[in-house]
Amino acid sequence: MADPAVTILFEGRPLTCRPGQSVAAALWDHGVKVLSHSPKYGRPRGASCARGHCMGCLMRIDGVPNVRACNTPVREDLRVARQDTGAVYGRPMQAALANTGHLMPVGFYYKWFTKPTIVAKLFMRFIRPLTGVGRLPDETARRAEAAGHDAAPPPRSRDLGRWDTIVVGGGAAGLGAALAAEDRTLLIDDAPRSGGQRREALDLAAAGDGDPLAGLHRLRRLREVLHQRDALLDAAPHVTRAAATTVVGCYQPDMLLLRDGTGLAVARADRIVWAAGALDQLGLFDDHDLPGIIGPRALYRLAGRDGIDLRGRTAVVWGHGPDQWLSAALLHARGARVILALDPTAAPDADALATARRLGWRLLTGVRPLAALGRAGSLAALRWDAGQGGTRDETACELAVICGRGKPVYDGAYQLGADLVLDPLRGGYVPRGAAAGRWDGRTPAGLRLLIAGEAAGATLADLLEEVTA
Amino acid sequence: MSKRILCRCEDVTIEEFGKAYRDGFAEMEALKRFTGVGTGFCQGKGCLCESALELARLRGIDPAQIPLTNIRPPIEPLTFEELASLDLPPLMGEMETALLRKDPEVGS
Amino acid sequence: MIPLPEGPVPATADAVIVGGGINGLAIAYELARRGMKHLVVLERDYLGSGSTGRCGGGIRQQWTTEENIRLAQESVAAFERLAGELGLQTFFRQGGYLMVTEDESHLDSMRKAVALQNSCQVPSRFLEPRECLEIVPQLDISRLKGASFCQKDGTAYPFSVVWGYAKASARRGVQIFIRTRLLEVRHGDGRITGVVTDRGEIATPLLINCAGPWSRSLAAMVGVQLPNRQERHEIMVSESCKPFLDPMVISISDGIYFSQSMRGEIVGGIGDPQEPHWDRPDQFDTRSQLRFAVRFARALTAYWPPARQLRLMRQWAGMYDVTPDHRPILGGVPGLEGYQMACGYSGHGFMLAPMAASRLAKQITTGEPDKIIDSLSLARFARGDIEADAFVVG
Repeated sequence: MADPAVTILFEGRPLTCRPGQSVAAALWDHGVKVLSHSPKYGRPRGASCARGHCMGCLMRIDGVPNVRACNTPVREDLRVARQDTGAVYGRPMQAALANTGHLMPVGFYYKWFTKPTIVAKLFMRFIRPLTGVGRLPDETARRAEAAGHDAAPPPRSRDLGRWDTIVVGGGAAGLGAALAAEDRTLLIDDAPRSGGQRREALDLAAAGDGDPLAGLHRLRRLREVLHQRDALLDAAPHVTRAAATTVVGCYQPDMLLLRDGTGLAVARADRIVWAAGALDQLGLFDDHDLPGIIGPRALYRLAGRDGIDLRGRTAVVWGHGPDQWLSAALLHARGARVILALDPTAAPDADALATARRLGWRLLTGVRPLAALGRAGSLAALRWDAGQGGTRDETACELAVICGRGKPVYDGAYQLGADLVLDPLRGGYVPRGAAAGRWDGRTPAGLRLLIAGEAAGATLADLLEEVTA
Repeated sequence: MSKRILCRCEDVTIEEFGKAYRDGFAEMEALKRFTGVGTGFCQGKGCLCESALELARLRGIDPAQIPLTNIRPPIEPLTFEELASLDLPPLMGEMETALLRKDPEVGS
Repeated sequence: MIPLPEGPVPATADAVIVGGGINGLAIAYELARRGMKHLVVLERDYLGSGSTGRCGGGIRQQWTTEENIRLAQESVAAFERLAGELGLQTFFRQGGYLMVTEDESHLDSMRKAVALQNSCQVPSRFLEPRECLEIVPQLDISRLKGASFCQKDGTAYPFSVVWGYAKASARRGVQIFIRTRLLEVRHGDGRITGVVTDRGEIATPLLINCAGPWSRSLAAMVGVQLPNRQERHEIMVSESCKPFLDPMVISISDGIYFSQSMRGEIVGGIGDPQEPHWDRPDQFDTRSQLRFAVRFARALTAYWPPARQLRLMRQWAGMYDVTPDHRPILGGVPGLEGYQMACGYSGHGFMLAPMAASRLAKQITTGEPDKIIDSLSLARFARGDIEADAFVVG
């Protein structure tokens, strides 16, 4: 709180923000939830994954197009603008498309106006200006736009050298693997503090009014374990930590390309532990892409490190399992009005239900989201399918946290040479033959690779079983 | 009008994906390039599993039988300025170890 | 749109074409168009999965040998009408090719090439470095010594062309089998008699080798030794931006090439003298290398500084099937009836295929000799009648 506020310029309008926040979070706090529009149908989009994966928050920042606002910290005088005015098809055509889609079937640009030659040529000329998203700046103009304030320094690169073991991911699985390693180990974590995507959420929930975690025993235990492992690692001389560092590419046989606040780095290892966790999976109900619909991991980031203002906001938390309860507890701690919507498979224990009653959360049971309803471009309500021709109720809310099966982060494991297979029961692509959230073996190029935790298809519930055992 | 979006980056709906499938783009490699699924800013992070599952459903087969399309580096977009700042010398060894191995046809 | 049969292959065929890239499919289409029936195309993976789908999609007429210029010129004409003929857009866009050099020593051959191209009615012209700025604003010309430019050159989308040929072939009854491997070729008494695949055997009098980087090992199966070797080349695609670059820019000095696709992405690659060469398919390695991304980024930002803030999205590798003179090998071999090939394109198969296919199909169906095919036959290496094309880039 000692840090003074910073001011960014959003489309010419000065906005006061808390230092350390992302641009996306700062805009949320100022009521700006629509950060871009989708290329074809012009659908409103916002920060959805909050981890730099989706394209909902691509904005023009300091003259650079297609910058992810969720991953960009606010800086004094940062110039931020939406860049989709006249996006791919232009506004009028987008409006027509949004309402009638079938007028331009998918891949129409492959099939239409192929002859005669002159028409095909004209068609190419017509569609070319419609393609592309951001506008590439003139290099001098960009420098002028970024000049005069604290612009990002040019990137520098480093070689972190060769390690016995590199662990990717600072969650429960990654911390466990780093502790179990006995050789020179580098622990890479994209968060500034180890403990995974849930640590901050657990800490905030534990400190919330009415102690929301009190009745959620296994989550409390997870928090203890994460703190414990973190402290043990602090005392472990064999482990070096690279915090706030992301793996941005993997190259066989054994090289990781990393990025931190200063630039890129390379590191190599005899053994790599891929414990990069999972991504949110929102399910495919109607208009699930409306701003205001996020998954639990996005919530942990936005309500955690980014600290968006949720006081008095109505938030629905749908799904089942521990992430649903942690999301509800975090929202409660942040002052939101929580509506807990349990899907038909949810089987909360009595203590959890008592917590919900004690804290005054509204409870819906046996529902599935059928559609999202928007107002002014962002979420206004969820419509439910209550099953068996039941009523189609609607619940007004401005935030919906969809707690579906996490999707294992597979890209790095694949790039290192792991053999993956699509298994919907494990949430997506998982190592072939993975048992109990773990695959340990050699890649065809000879690297010793361990894939562990949610990245190997485990759920948070599985991890809780393990830590409470 | 409400839509059920399968791929956000390229704005492909479930219906459109199914239509392309019925149009003869019957496998993931062709579907990916025809509809754009998996080729946008997220490079498939948000839609690759979902599309493969939908294809398995359309074909009535076990999802495990859908071959995985290649997931090439990088994992996150990298500016050319960042990349140009990397030193080449530490990368030289990479070429020797990775490329000169005699593994049977690797990569795809 | 593209019916792809599953199950066993037919027991007999009038021709079996090996390779489901642009060459194999274009030849299948051209043969079918000329009335041949019972054609089968075999593809080991998916359509365009070999070299075609990995290429940059460039189509240029700026070559230094007459055969290449003529083939490319006819191909440009073909690409202009291909969308209508195949019923699918090819995204062929004639933004031109700007070939630049930083070496004084290239200027002479560049001027000579322009003269040869002009004599073949290719409208290329020689440019001073500052003139390049009219074609590519913000190009860094400080190290450039000269350039040549041809507005009629351009780019197309390889997959779309492959699908177009596949669709048009299938409409004419060609059977295309993907994910099908060729295991053996049956031949004897100086003639081809059939092939064995993992989906069954096909008796056929005609085998056409369009296997790209695998063509050398396929030829070896029938006792034909090709002088080709296989090179690994990497390429990448950037994020998509609004149109800002019209031509393909290509440097003869360091082998970089880049253009902006019809999706708004920069597509480009760079040659690497340190890449190994192979002659056996079991050595092929198309894994991505960071080294490539770094070299490309350095060259790109040096030539064209606005690219600094642009992002690389994806990089991949493919194989060039390279002949000693960097020109393709077309036609048959004496003493082996029923064997034909279209291979050895040395990295330029996409741009040369449509016309090579058309000429080869004509020769096969009519028996009329073709001057260009003859000059590009395998026999030229034995005759010592080779003239290397100097402008091989990437």
